[in-house]
Amino acid sequence: MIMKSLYSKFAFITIMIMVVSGIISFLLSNAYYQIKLKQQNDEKITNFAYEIADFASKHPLISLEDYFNHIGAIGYQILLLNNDKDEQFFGSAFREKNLPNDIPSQVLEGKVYHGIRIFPHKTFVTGFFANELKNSVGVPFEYKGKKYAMFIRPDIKLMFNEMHILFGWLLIISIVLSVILVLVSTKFLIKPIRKLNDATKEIAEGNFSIKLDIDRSDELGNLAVSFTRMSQKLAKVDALRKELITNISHDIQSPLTNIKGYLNLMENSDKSEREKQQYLEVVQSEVNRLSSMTKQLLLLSTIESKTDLMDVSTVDISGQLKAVIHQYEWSTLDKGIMMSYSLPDATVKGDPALLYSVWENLLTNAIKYNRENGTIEIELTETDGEVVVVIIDSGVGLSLKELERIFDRFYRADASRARSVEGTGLGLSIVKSIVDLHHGKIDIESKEGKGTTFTVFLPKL
Amino acid sequence: MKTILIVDDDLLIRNLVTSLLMKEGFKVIEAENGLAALELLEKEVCELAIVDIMMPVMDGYHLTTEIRKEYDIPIILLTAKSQIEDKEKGFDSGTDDYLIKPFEPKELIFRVNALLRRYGKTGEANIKVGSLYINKKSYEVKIKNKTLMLPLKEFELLTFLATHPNQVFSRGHLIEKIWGLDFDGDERTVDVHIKRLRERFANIADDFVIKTIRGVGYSLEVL
Repeated sequence: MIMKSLYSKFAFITIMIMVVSGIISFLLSNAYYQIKLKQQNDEKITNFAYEIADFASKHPLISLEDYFNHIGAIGYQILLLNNDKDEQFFGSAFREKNLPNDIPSQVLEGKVYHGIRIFPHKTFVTGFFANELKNSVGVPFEYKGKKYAMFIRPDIKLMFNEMHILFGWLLIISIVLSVILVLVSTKFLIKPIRKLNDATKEIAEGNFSIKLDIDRSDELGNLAVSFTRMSQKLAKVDALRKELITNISHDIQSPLTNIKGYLNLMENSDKSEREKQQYLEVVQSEVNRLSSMTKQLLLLSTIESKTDLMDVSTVDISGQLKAVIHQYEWSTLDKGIMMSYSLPDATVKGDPALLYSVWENLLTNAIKYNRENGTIEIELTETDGEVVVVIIDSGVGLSLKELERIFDRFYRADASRARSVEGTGLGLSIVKSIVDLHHGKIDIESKEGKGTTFTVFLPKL
Repeated sequence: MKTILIVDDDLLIRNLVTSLLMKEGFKVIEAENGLAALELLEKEVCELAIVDIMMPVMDGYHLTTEIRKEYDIPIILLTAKSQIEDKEKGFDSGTDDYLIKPFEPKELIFRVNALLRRYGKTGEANIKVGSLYINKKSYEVKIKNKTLMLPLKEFELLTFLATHPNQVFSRGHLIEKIWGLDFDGDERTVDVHIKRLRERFANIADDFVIKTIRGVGYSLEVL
C-alpha cells in the first residue's frame, strides 16, 4: 500500500505501534507467568489438592462420589483414579485428556504430580488457561484403606468467565476507541500542515498576502507565525524588486535615449564641428553615468548580500578622510569651495574599502550640491564608544519631503536639478547600507538653500 | 615652456595625457617604460614626471626611486583604483602625489599645476599671524586645530596680506601681485575675494581682521 498523505502515514504508524506494543506486552507477561507465576500457581493448587484429599481421607463417612461432585460443582475439574484403574471425572470436562501413561501409577504409589509447573513453555499460549488434564496437580490419598490418585485443576472457565468477558470487552473497546481517536486527532494535527501547504502554493503563485488562521502555541503554531512573517518579508522584497526594476529600466533607458538621439544628430553632416563637439560631450557624460551607475549597483548588491562584514581590520578614519579630501581637492577648489577640517586620529574596526566609499560618496555629494564659493566642513570626534564624522556643506539643502526619501535607491532630490548634476541616486543608499553593516547610524539635518549636515556615528566595536 | 615627462606603456593614456597637457601649454615628452624614461631624462630637462605603476621592464615604484636618486623633480604616480591600498608604497618610493585612473582631465591639470607651484619652495618661510598659520608649501591654512583649504587666489591673497600685516595695499597693487600684470579683469575682483575671505574667517578666527581703508585699499590687522 502506498500512503501518500502524512495523515494516513501518521494514523497507520500510530495503530501499528499499538499492535506491536500489545504483542510485546503479551509476550512479556506470558514470560513472566512461565518464569514466576506458574511456580506459585502450582504451589497454590497443590495446597488445595492436599486439603481436598486430606478431607476425603479423614471423613470415610462421606461418600467419595458425593464429595467430589460437590468440589467439582464449586469450580474444579477433577480426575479420580484408583488401583483398579477406575477413572471418574468430576466438574466440567477437560478439553484434552492427555495425561502421560506412567503418571497415574506413580501418583498412586505416593508421588505428587506437578503438571502445572512442568506444563511446556509456549510462546503464544499462556499455560494458565490450558484446559488440559496434563496441566493439573496430582496427589495420592487413601480412602477406606484404598489408594486413590486425584488430579485437580481450577475450572478457569467457570470461575473467571465474567472476568473473561469483562477483560475481552475492555480490550476491544479500548482498541476500537483508540483507533478512532488516533484517526480523529491525527486529522486535527495534520490540518495546520495542510493549511501551510496551501499557503506555500499561494506564495508560489505570487500571492504574498496570505492569512493563516492557525492559533497554537506549539511548534506548528511557531511555524505558522514564522511563515506569516516570511511571507510578509517576501512581499516587501517583491515590491522593492519591482520598484527597483522600474527604476533601473528608467535610469538606463534615459541615458540610452540621449546617446541614441545625439548620435543620430551627429550623423547629420550639416552640423558644425562645434555642435558635434557638444553632442560628443553629452554622449560621453551619459556613458559615464551608465558606467558609474552599473558600478554602484554592483557595489550596492554586494553590500546588501552581506549580513556581516568580511574584511574587518582597524580603519584609520582620519587617514581615510584626509585621502578623500586630497582626492577631491581639485574639484572643490575648481568650484571655489573652501574645505575646512579638523581630523584628530581615530580608528574603528571595519571594512576599509567600504568605509572609504562612505566618505567618498558624502564628500562628492557635498561638492556636487554645493554653491560656487561655498564651504565644506569636516569634523571628526571620538568618544568612548564611537567615532563621529560630521560633514557640513553650504549647498542647496533638502526639503522635509526630500529628506524622507533620501536613502531610497535611485531617489534624487529635485528632478529638475537632477538633469544638470551628475549622479545615479545610488550614493546615499550605498552609504546607508555600509553604515548599517557597521552597526552605525547616519543623521541628516538640512535647511533648504542653507545646506545639509550629515552625521555618521560608527561604533568602535 | 615647462617640460613634462609621461611614462606609460599604454599608448592611449600617453596620447590622452599629452594632448591634455599640450592644451595647457606644456611641452610633453613620452616614454613607454622605465628604462626609456631614464634615457630620456639624461638628454632632456624635465620639470615634472607622470609615471604609471604597472609597466613592463621597470615598474613605476622602481622608476620613481631611480628618478629620486638623480633628479629633483616632482613625480605623480598613475594608479588604478584597485591599487589604492598600495599608495603607501608609492609614497615610500618617493612620489609626491598620485592620480587614480580613470581621472578627470581637470584633476590632472590641477595636480600638475599644484605640484609645479609648490615644488622647490622648501626654503620659503611659513607665516604665523595670531592664531593663523599658513603653510606655503602645502597650501594649507591652520587655525587652532582646524585645517582650511582655500581656493588658490584666496590663499594667495591671504598669504600676501599676512606676510605684511598692518600694511595697506591698493587694489591695483594686489592685482599685480596675485593675478599678474596680464590680468584683464577689473579691481572689483579684489573686493569679491576679500569679501569671501572675511566670510570664511568670520566664525573661525577672532584675532585678525581684513580692514578696508577707504580710498586706499586693504590691510590685514592683527588684534
